[in-house]
Amino acid sequence: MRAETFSAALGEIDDRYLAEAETCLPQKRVIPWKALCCAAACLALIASVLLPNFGGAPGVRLGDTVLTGQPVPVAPAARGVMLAMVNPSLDVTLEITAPKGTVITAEAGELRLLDPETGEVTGSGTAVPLPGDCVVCWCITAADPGETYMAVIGEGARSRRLTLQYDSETQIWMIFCE
Amino acid sequence: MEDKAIIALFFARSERAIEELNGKYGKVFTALANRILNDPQDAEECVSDAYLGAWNTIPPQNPDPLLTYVCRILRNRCIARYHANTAQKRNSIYDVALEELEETLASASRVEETLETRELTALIQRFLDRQSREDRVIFLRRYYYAEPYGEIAKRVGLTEKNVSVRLSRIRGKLRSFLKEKEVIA
Repeated sequence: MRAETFSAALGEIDDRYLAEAETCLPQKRVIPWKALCCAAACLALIASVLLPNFGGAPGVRLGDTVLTGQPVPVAPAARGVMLAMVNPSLDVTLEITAPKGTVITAEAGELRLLDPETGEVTGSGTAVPLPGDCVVCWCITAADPGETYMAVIGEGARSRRLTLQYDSETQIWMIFCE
Repeated sequence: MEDKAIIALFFARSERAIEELNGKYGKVFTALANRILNDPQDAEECVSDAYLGAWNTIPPQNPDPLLTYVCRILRNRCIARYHANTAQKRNSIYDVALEELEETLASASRVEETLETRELTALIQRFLDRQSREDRVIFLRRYYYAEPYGEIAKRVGLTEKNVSVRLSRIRGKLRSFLKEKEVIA
């Protein structure tokens, strides 16, 4: 059959089909907001479970210990005694989980960004932008047991404050994170 | 102006009927004629012919809806002009639409040539009745009104790609239907 034959026959169809085709108004595409919101909420929930740092504050570990508001010793008691006595350099190596671009700022001492593989210093200063999850060494020369040292990771409501304090009872430097 | 008022002007044999008809639907008619003929001058002449056709048939005809009625006259005029212009290079949207149909309707059999237009029209209507409203609109906007995919997409709220895919499926169903009815082999 030739298309022209078909087209001629199509030209004779009943008015009701043509009226239907003519009166069809442009339709707005319906966006299923409810379903999309549910899906987004589910994804956020899954992400928050799978990625501990997703949408939350930066995480900080000292060795195998996750830092919280509970003080954790940064050095053995014997070394703590020695530190208190001679005020040597205090180096605290922390594993930080944070989004890329988060800045860690120390009120005292120097922050050194370390290569997790080689341990080489890849950046340093009192304010260091983090490349994402990384290892940072917080170095305080001549740490004074009478002082409290602070550093802040990130800014705003999701920032974390690191505090280094000397515990005179146990004679150990302690760190906690709020 | 309401269609009924325009028809009343036709019945009163007032030439304002043509002015009002042109004012309300002129752009629609010109666009349809252009899509089939791809020639502004031919299109303009066909639109004028269609107005004359409406003038000569209303009354006694009292069409409802008026747009459909004049579109039909116009389409027939345009297709007649299209065939008269076969010596010219074909490059209209109507040509492209026909090419799409050629593939669907290709058949080794000559049976269909004995089929009268009226019978084929009845079959097309039965086929259309089996389709969803949206598919009917898409099919007719393409193969009756020779509209490009983009305009159909806007009309039905789909993307051009969706319209293309939908038309391909409808043509496939049309082919199966015509085979089932032994119109094509």
